[in-house]
Amino acid sequence: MKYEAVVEVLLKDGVSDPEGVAILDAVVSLGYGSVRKVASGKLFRLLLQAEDENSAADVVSEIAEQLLSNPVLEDFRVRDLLLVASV
Amino acid sequence: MGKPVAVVIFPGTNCEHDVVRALSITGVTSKLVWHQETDLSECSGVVVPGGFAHGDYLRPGAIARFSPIMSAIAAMAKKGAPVLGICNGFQVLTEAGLLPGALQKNSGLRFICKDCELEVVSNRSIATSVLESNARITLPINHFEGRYTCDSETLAQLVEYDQIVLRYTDNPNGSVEAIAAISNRIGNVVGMMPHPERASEPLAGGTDGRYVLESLKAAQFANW
Repeated sequence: MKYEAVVEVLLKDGVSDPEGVAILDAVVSLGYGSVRKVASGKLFRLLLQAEDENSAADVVSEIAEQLLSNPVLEDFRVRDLLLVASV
Repeated sequence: MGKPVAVVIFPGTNCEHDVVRALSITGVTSKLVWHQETDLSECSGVVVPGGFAHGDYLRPGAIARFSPIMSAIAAMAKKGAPVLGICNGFQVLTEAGLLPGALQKNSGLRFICKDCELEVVSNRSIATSVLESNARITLPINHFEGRYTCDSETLAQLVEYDQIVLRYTDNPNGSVEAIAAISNRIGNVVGMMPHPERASEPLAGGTDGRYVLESLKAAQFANW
């Protein structure tokens, strides 16, 4: 089976995010004064071969934990695990 | 003369020749070691120099952590040999888990390149042993991602085990507790954002980096 996974990496709550603050400033000066917070992060799309959805999710989580995120600063979330081919 | 100090090169490292030259002025022989090497048993210590290892892709140091040389560096650290990470080298050592915490983008989101006054907090480390605690030295910094960050528990441990090595007197990048350099508990693994190799001869604008290199030299000869 071929799966596509999207992994989202964001700073943990409480870790300061100067990039998010700078983007928020720009959003506000654009005229959107209603926006209170912007969090910056990263998004990764992985294509992988796996037996089934559970094993695909396990592999992607391992990769996200060991490489895509730095556990000191960031949390990750695997979202949109999709079956793209049944071969 | 003993065994040479290894100066590690990743693709994208760019301070290795400065380190070799500064070590040589200090009387320490060194040799450049490519990141694909796996054996450092013929070396008396390790310097991981600055630059942009593996292009700093993903996060600074994140890819370098998987280079083959890293297990050899970890083995040296475990044996008690001096391991010094400078700037990007500091980022590599934190990503590899050889030092706690992480380096984030500077708080003002600016690349900072200037001389900084630093206070020696601990002189127990292999980078500060020839200095007195509370001494002040001036070294240049040159980074965008040098804001030292860790959780409060880690910070408490750094204090308890005397692992804060250097502190900025004006905290230019917003580091937690103005930390510029830390060590592991034993003190043989040190990461620092300032560049001692760039302040090792008068022509380069300063000589305070020699204190760091002299300390490394003392650790090298004391242990081996």
